[in-house]
Amino acid sequence: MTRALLLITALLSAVTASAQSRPAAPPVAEPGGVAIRGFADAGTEMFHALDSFQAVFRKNSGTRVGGGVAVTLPLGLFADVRVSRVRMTGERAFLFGGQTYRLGVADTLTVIPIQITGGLRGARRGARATPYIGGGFGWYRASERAAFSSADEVAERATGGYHLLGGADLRLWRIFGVGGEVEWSQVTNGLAGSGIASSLKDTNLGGISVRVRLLAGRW
Amino acid sequence: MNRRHALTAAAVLVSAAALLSGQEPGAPAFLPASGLPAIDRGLREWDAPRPPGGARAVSRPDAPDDSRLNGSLIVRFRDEATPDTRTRSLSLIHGTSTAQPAWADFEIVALPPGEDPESAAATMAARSDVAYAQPRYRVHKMFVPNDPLYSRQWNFPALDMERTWDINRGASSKIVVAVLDTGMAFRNATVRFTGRALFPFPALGPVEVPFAAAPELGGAERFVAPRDFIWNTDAPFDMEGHGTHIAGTIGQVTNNASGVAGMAFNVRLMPIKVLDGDWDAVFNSPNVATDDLVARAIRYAADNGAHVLNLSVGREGGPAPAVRAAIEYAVAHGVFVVVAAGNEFESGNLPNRFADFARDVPGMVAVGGTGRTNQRAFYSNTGSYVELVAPGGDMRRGGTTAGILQQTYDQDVVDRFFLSRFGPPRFDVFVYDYYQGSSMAAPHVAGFAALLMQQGITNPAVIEALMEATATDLGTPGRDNEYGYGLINPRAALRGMGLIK
Repeated sequence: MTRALLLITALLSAVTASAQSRPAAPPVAEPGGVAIRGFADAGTEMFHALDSFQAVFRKNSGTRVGGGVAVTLPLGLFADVRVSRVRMTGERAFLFGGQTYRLGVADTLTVIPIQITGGLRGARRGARATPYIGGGFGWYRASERAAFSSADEVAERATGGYHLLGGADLRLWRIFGVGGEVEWSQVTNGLAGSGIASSLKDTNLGGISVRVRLLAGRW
Repeated sequence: MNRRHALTAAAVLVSAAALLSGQEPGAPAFLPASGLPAIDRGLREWDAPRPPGGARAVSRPDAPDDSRLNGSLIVRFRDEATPDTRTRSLSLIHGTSTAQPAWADFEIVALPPGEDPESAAATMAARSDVAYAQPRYRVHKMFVPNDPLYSRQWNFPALDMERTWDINRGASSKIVVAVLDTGMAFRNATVRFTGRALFPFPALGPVEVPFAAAPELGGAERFVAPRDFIWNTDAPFDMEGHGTHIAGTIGQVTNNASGVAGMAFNVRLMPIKVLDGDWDAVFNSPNVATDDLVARAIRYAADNGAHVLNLSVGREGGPAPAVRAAIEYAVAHGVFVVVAAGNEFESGNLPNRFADFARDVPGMVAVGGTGRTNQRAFYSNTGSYVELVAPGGDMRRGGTTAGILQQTYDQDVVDRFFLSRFGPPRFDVFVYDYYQGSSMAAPHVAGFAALLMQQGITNPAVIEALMEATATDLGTPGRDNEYGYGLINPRAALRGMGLIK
């Protein structure tokens, strides 16, 4: 989390410095053309299942890193494909009387969302910043492994879900740019099982993600 | 040529063939099948002694500390590593690459004598052309006690204790388990008694009775605040063997290459004598076991630092409010209380009055007994107060060896109540003996509670809830009067719950 904040700060500083030192550069893609950019992103994921995550991990947020491909399409449309990962480490626990009792057995959750997003970009000729909104669906693979687990004790789930997102990209220099976005996701039944989430009737593996992304490609 | 000459010639020929074929020294030479059948010597009466610890009987010169092999390393070079970079990397540790073994994506790198595999591995792992490097750590089986008679203790594998001990290796000396019973063979002494006449046995007069600490219960440091409520002393000598057997199930010294194992083998034990036996009667003890004595002993245990209390005792008859109040006192002071459900199923199934209020006291459990097949033992009481079951043994279904094996007195020198050989007993001769009863089931739960305490769950009510939530349901689905919530599942409880599973 701290590293993500540092990264965000550094990126914002870079954007500010770049905006101050360089004149605006025109987008290089022809209006109405197709442009492809690759991106890497990092940020934080705050899971909706607050109580369940806090019981095991003492917090409901984790660092999310990923990357993908963003395709700008005619008519201001775009499509993204993204793969990311959130990994959290905590302690297995037991709930009783509204309290959490931890057992000192390490527990690691890894969530890998694979998402496809489509939406609209508010591109204007000559503008360096491009806002966008979109939505899509994805597959969310959750894997939970504890210390001393045997193979049959590892939880593996893959669940479908959907998301909405919005953000803005800023072209910095030649093919490089930076962006920031917020995503809200809903992954019903992503936490179904026999664990603490089930005890607390939390089934949603979705959350709110805030992240920055670095882009490289044709603008 | 006689048979001996023929065999010698065959051996010489096979040896020569092995040499000519360049077979490595030490590789097995497979001789032609001789046609002789295998020898079956049947079951041994007693297991032969085994080497101590997880340790081996012999020590390899290339692995003196038994944890890793010296003289070699596992290295996985990255695919993009070139022969030049590999050579440069290997030169840093003076290593020599050998052929990649079959079914491996790594290679074994030979190290010169004296090269430390740990530091060599660290050096290699830091190289950009190396994906990973590690010493050749030796692999061992998961914790299985090496006590030679452990193989006769079906009760621990039935509870998946081997994998449980991987999570918690028998608790620690911070946890104290009080055993309120017939006393315990906890120290050596010779005690002079006067044996009075009790029909039909004549008076023994003054006798010197030897006592000894059970070898498998450990040294004096294991015992905390011993107390005898039958004789009003601080020397609760066991004059039956019941309490010593129960103490063994809780905390028998384990993995010492001797005898048998116990559930929570690192705890300390608090021996408290609240039951009198025949010899206590012959020697004219000032007290006999009564509710008030048991109630006082429970409070004594709570006030003297017990974390878990095992009561493999009880009675039928009227309610026991004094004992109930004492148990509630103990639970309120953070003591988890385990009570045997009783053995009266075939005698009217009268409830054990020390157990029949267990459902109303969170932090106290009543425990029934099961046999080898996880079925309720023939003797084990049923009723709404039964909350959990644990192995208590069922010799009717499985014979003697279906009982619970622990060390206790040799009854041949204790139980001398035959007119022909009536004489003073000895309490310094031990055997490993099979007992059965809910008395034997309860200490499994007491040991289990000690493991949970060690794991950080100290609230008795939470311990009970966790035990019940993780029990393996038996009998009618859900809680029932035969098995309660089911057979204890220590591993599931000690693992707790994750987010999803």
